[in-house]
Amino acid sequence: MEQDVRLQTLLAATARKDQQAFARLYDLTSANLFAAALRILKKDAAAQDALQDAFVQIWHRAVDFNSSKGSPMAWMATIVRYRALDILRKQKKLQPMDDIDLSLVDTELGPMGKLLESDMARLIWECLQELNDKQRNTILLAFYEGLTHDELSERTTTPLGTIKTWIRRGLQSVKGCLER
Amino acid sequence: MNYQDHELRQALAAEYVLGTLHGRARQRFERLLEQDARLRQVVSSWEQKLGPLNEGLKPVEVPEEVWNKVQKRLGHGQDQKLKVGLFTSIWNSLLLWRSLTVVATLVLAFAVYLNLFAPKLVVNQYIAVIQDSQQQASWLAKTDLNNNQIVIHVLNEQTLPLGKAFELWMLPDGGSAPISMGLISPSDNKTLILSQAIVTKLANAKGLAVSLEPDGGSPTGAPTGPVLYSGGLQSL
Repeated sequence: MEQDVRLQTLLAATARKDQQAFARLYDLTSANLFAAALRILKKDAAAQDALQDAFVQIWHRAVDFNSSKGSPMAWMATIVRYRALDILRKQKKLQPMDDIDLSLVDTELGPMGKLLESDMARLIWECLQELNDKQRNTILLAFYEGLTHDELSERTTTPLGTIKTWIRRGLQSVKGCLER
Repeated sequence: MNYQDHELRQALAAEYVLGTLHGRARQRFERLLEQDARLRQVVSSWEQKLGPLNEGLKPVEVPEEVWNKVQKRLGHGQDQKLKVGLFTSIWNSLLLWRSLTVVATLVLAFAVYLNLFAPKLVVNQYIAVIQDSQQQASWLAKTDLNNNQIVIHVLNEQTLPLGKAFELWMLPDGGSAPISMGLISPSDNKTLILSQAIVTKLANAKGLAVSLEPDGGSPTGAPTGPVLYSGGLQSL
């Protein structure tokens, strides 16, 4: 909560083009956001590019942020993820699938992770626990690794139609749970 | 595809945020987003829902050059150049900068570590909304146990009779006598220092209460006037 308030203040100052606040914002969040980009892209150089692009966007788009849009960290993470997904899609066009390291997603959070969680994060993890293991893993694989339906199907040796159903129903039920 | 269908809009937005909407479908969806403000709201609500999943990731140290590139692209950090003067040669010394960079990176990593983890790693914090008998919130109490303090924010100004004081008490577990935490103001935020005795009992305390006392506080060390406000403690 305190961290959220601090980041909100820094984002608001960034929106007013305060370079020092922006630098501080970077200091506080870049290591976490880099982890999200790395998770999707696997490669250091590509993840660095995604992070760089994302922070340029954050500088320009800070005015768009308001706290009703959720936590500042989640907002920034979304920008990083979309950039990482864009880069990933471009990469995949250039290289065959099996060049990409598809290590298993660690659905158990590390102890550090648990401590970082905000109320919202705790809530979504609780809601994910309501899904069955396969549904949950499929959604987490998609989120953290940026896998497509086809890749998920191949990866989990599950028919494509089943994957699509798991994701659709899984997301619906997470939404229902979060809105309860 | 009928993009006006409610179910479909929800599903597409969800998969856009999740990342499984890809290729042409993703591009098409992004074009649609530019024109459709309501669809942007649906996406934004999914971003809020799924975004927190990123918080659990273990941070990874970012190479220094990323920040330098960001600054360069935005044209920031130009003022550093102005400092080049009498000490030009030292200033331009690669060794100096290399060592400073190493030190700065370490300091930064440590600072980030402290900022992100230390408060929650070391202690829980507690908050209490202190209400009157009509459930009207009067103060918000929030501990800062890193500094053995509790900060009292005024939510609604109260009227304090002349010659009286509001005294804040902790109600320990097991029905033992309330422990005074100090006097609080009806109209101004206040920070109170907590004794070690209070800090150790906080985790099991039943809550906080405010009583009306003579000016200067209770003369006996126990509440002497009526308890007008109270609130349960919640750990953060």
